[in-house]
Amino acid sequence: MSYIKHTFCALVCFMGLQMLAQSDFEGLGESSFAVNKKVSSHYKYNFALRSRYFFYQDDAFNFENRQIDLVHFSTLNLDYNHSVSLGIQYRFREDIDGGSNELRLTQQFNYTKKEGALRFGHRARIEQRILDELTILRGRYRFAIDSPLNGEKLDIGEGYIVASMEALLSLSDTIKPELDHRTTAQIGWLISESLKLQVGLEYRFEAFNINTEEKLFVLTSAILKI
Amino acid sequence: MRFKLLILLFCLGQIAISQTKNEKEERVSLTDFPEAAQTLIETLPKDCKRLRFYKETDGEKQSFEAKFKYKRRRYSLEFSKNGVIEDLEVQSKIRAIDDPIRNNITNYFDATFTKSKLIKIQKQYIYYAEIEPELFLAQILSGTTSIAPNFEIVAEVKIEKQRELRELTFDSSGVFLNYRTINPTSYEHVLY
Repeated sequence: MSYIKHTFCALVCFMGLQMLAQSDFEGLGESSFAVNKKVSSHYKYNFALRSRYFFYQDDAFNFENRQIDLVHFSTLNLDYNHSVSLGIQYRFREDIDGGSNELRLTQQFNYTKKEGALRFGHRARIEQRILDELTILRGRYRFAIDSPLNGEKLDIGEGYIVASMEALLSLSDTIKPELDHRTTAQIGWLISESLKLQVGLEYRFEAFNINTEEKLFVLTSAILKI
Repeated sequence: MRFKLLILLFCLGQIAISQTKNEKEERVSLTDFPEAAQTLIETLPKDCKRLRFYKETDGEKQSFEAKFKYKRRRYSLEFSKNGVIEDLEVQSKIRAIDDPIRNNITNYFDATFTKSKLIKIQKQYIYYAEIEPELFLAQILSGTTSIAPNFEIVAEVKIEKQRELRELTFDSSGVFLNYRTINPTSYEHVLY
């Protein structure tokens, strides 16, 4: 799997260069803790607590909290590689940085295909983001590849990588349609049968059809299976 | 702060990696294979593509597997711990199986499960000691073997309202022999 490692390293370096070239750039961190529960072969659910914070803003490093999300997803497996999900999320921002709180509803379809060690994932989502002043309708599509770092099967103690690209289109009555693009590279470890840890980077081009904002996210997460 | 967290995460990963595991599949190089297996692999046709080597450990049991592509077909060659060839499997399609055999297989699925979806089909040529391993391999690869293969099928089946993944084995005439349940493992990242 050395070619995957090389690609991953190249991607990370590339992201770093991009970051240095920007002066109006922002760096954020997002940490999450998620609990997954498989109820039956048909149904599983997920709860997550996620916090987002600035660590680089206005050309200086400083730490500033931005928001906390509470997320729930319910997934119905149609068969071993197709699923549909419904999600509900509440975002707390008002008490943290004064922005609008948000209720978000998500409908999702997912399809995966395994080819040797690689797994390809296609995910389509429709979201309704209900904010104080407006409601945004958002469509998004993500293509992801993941793979264990050794062999074709992920064993306990082994690492894996996940890379993805996502395109987003936001529509609302009051603001112009907005296009976003996100590239993500993460590395994770299956620590035990029930625990995974993931770290990674996500580079976002936000509203690139209007006035591009570029953001780098440092992602950390712990995923517990119960 | 962030840096320390990264270091911590990295260390945790290292600890986990150094733990003893009961079950493990890993990619290795040819030189890690038993000698007998190495000698045999060297007799494979030169135009074999994507030749890769894997070692599997399950408790005390060890086995070796070489995977490759030859004339657009995917093969998997299995060896015991001592390098004795066990079987050669080649990926196939249900419609490529001849009719009376295919009928027996599909009838089994229809009669046993409320629903089923075939995911992977392999012809399995089991090695028997009366033939030279080199000849066994060469005959299968050139399509001149007289061995009738078993069929190993990975399928998602629905039984008593529950779905599970199974690996089912059928004999050369399509009669069901046995199955094992495949653990979908913890191969479910938070991604989906």
